[in-house]
Amino acid sequence: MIGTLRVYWLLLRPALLIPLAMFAALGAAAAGHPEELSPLLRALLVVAGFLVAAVAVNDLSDEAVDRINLPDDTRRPLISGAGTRPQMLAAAVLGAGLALGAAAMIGPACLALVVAGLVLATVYSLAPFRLAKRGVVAPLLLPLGFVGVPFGCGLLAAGAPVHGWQLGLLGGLYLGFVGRILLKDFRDVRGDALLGKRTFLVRRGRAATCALSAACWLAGSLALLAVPGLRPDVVVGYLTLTGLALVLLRRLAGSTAPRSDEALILAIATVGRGLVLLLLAQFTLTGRMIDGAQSLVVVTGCTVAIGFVAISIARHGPRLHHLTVPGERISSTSRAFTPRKRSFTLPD
Amino acid sequence: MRRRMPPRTERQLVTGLVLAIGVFVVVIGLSLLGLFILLATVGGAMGSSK
Repeated sequence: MIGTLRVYWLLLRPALLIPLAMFAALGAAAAGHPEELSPLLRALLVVAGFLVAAVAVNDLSDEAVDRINLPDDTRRPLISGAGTRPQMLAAAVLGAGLALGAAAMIGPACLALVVAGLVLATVYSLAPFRLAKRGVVAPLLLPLGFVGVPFGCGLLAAGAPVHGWQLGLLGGLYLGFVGRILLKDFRDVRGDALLGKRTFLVRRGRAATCALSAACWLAGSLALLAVPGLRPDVVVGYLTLTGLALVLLRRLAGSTAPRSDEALILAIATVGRGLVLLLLAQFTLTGRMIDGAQSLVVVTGCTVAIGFVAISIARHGPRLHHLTVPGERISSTSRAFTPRKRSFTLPD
Repeated sequence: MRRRMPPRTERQLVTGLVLAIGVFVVVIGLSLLGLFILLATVGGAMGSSK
């Protein structure tokens, strides 16, 4: 049991948990309850279960390809040896049970939403459907669960009636996430190509993937038009960050180095989270009736901070952990300094 | 010729800016928004491509 709980904890990956928590917060905020802890916590309970169930099933089915793509990833229990397949299965069942129980407490609509999300996560990863291997279908379907479930849970947990504009906003968030998830395949291209996982990137190459991602970013940014009572400062910030994302995508389309690819993709993801943050600021500032100079400082500050973080990551890559190289290896062999070849050439 | 800022200094400036905005947002009473500002930005350094 302790082993299963440890695996459960490892599967709550911050890289996924943070964006999903933001979608849940945005759902609650769009329902008119920004800055209220109760609906957010109930939605997060569902998200924490749903995420672990989806990730565990995916890790179980992708074990071979992850051994090639992510051999050093400590948050993948099967690869690092921190967990076994039965423990992963137990964590998936535990996560699904937690998500369903917490969703039932919110209401029948939320329960139906989570059931649909879990079914989608299963057919995405497992045979005979295995949608993850089916080109552009995979990035189009996966965000339905990763955006729809948390946003819907936040919306329903707040208890307000659902309006058409909220669904329009959800559509925009979905398209924006498709634009980001398409880029995830750059990290995995080596193993995907070797093991016949025909992702959109493997099939169509770098330029087409970046072009499709840019189209999704632009279409997703139209979600802003669905939001009633838009604040001018939010519009300016949103358009600025969308423009920055497009510039970074253009650089990614012309990049030739894996290290540069990684930095640009992380920067683009940061901009994506920044856009969700600005939408959250829109609802929070409106709900709390904060106007004038304070609003301008918050929105401009968020825009500038996100932009600086993204540009810094694009320039230098993510912050790396310090590596300690044993002294005797420095003097005895130069093999310690030979970088492992991890590049993979894509068609233009 | 203009000298480029060292990465470490640049990162410290960026982190300081994010913290300043986060603190300001909390001071005006928007603590959840402040929390998400930190998560959305600091989360970027944790290797998220989503």
